[in-house]
Amino acid sequence: MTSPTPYMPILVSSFSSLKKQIKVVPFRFEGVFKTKGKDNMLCTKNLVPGEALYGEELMRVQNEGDITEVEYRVWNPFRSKLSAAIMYGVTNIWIKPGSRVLYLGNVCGLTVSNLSDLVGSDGMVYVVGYIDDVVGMAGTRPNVVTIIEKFWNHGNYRMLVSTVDVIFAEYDRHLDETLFMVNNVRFYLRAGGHYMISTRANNLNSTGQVKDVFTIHFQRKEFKQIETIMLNLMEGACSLVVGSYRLLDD
Amino acid sequence: MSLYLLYEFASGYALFNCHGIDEIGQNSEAARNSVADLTRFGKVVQLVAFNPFESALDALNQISAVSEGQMTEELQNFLSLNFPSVGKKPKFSLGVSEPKLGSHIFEVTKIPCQSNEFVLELLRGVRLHIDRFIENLKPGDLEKAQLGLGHSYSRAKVKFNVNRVDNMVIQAIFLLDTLDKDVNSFSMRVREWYSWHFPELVKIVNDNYLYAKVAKYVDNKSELSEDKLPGLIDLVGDEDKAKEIVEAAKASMGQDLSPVDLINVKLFAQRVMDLAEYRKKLYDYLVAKMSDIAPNLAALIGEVVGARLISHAGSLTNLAKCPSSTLQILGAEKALFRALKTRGNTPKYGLIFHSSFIGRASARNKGRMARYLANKCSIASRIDCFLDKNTTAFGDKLREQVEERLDFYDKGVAPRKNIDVMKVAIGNVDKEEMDVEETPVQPSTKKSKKKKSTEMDVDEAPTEPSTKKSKKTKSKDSISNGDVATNGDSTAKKKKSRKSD
Repeated sequence: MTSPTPYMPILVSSFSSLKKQIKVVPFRFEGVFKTKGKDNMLCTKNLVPGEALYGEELMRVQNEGDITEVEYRVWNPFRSKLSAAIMYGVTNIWIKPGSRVLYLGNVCGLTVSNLSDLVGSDGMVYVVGYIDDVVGMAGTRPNVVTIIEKFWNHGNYRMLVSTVDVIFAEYDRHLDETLFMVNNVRFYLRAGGHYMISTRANNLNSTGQVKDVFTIHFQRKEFKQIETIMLNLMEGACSLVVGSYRLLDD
Repeated sequence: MSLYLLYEFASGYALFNCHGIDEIGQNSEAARNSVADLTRFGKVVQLVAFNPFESALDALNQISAVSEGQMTEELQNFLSLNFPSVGKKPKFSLGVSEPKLGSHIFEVTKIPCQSNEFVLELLRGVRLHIDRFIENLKPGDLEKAQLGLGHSYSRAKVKFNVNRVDNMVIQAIFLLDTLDKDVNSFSMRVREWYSWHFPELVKIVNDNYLYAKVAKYVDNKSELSEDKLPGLIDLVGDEDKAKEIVEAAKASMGQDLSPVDLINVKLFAQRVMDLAEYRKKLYDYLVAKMSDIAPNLAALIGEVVGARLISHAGSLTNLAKCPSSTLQILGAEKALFRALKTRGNTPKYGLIFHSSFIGRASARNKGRMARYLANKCSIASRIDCFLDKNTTAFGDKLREQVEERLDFYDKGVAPRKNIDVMKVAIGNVDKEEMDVEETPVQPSTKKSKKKKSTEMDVDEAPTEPSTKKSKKTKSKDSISNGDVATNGDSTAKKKKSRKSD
């Protein structure tokens, strides 16, 4: 799979209203970009150019040697936990253009929209939750399937979801919900896939480490915790747990 | 004992036969290993039958049934088509994802079902490789099917109602503004253009729409004579003005236009008239739509201001979510942030200013009225957004409250307490519901006249609604039909309630 050429674009002020020079460079992971300049903002390439869904900034930059403009959307790390994790230095997010992602839990439309930008038109994002605004947003995005259902009824939406590469879950209630998460993993996550769970950091055990809820509840070799990132966001301390499922020993 | 697998997905139902389970053994570990490789898995599991869904509606029915663990007729037909009839000791079993569905299948068709870990592992493999198994599925077809089906499933869950889409109102109000500008600029153009021929007309006829009509009627001013006067009087409405026009035409300084030019001017004048008429129709459409999606807001501050608020906020839900202080200054953001930065006085009203109440308040009380009105608008918008019923009872009551507040500032008349007014409003809403449920019963009373037992039926009717009545009704009985009929009734009842207050 050929990787896209890294853009080194220079802003042409006559094409856009922004007068300051902004460079947008790829940042660590495929599909994720960062602005260089006055602010360092994380952004993704906009799948639906011209639409700013949550009032975020859209940046138009011009490709070198090409008249076409590329539009990027800013990814706010204070509102999206995945963005915060990237900025805090997670080793790998395992999501790249073309992957399939299952998004569960407290659905945040902001994260979903950026995920959909990330995976591009080849990938798919399946969103499961009780969310009204996401249904409206997903209307313009052909790679987001919205399922209005509680994620612990994992069987109910089995007709709508294919095997996914990554499961991303965001919930801040009790650990009991992990029992339901496991079923989702076993149904839909492919062998060798990864899961990322973001919970409140009060799930710490006595040594101060975040319990990976899977490895504790299910002492099987299927779930292997890779890393934990502490995210000190505005709403309170959260943590992101990254793990793998049935990693093949290659 | 052979094992079959039922796999249901967005494109249809598929049935697989597992031959090779004896080879890999009946445990999940082995199944897991075989899944990874398609060729190996292909030997284990083979496609027996595939039944695609016939239409989107069919797919929606299937997924609704599947999510509840029920088997539909289509699934039953599919299974009975592919399985031999089941005797007392069936020689095969069917693996399903969910035990609930399995038990229902067993109840109806006597096909034994299982859904243990082993089956789940095999189904995982099927899910991973499904697009290779089915030949007709091109890459991307499955995703599109999932998209469409997911969308309709979600809509069905949310009970999406097409009539209550607020987007129509937002577009309509934008179009109304654009139309106003356009009609205005076109009218100016007509006036200028025709003035080359008949300059005096501009000063006599001031109204744009009327000017276009007159210009079209007058055509060539040299042909304007006394016999055209009656028609002109009909158009203008004023006999003096019509006579003035005729006089001016005779003594006009304007140059003559060739017939072709005149035709062009006439065509353009016709265009302007059509646009003006369309604007009227659009306004009526806006009023109708507002009464569908936000009747209480429209009853409180009027359709146009209400529509502007909704379009400024982005949608009705956005408007409902924002606090009333935001609603008060929606539209005055520039002044607000400027004042916040320079630590000056923040604006007191935004779009709300255009409602009639602010104009009627004295200068001292404009700010207070604006705040009070914004509070009530917030309430109205929230009711509109989240109440399933379509009623203006709350909006009317809120409007009364605002009027009372105005009186209070003017004359010192104490307004009613909010809780009392709201109780009456809720009562009105329930009464409206009762009226609706009574009206369908009335035809039956006419029928029963033949049986000569009218009194019996009329007595029975009121008891029905009272059992169904509940305080916060979220009934799906759309009372939009009943609304027109009950409006007269409800106002009469309100008058009654006012007397009792």
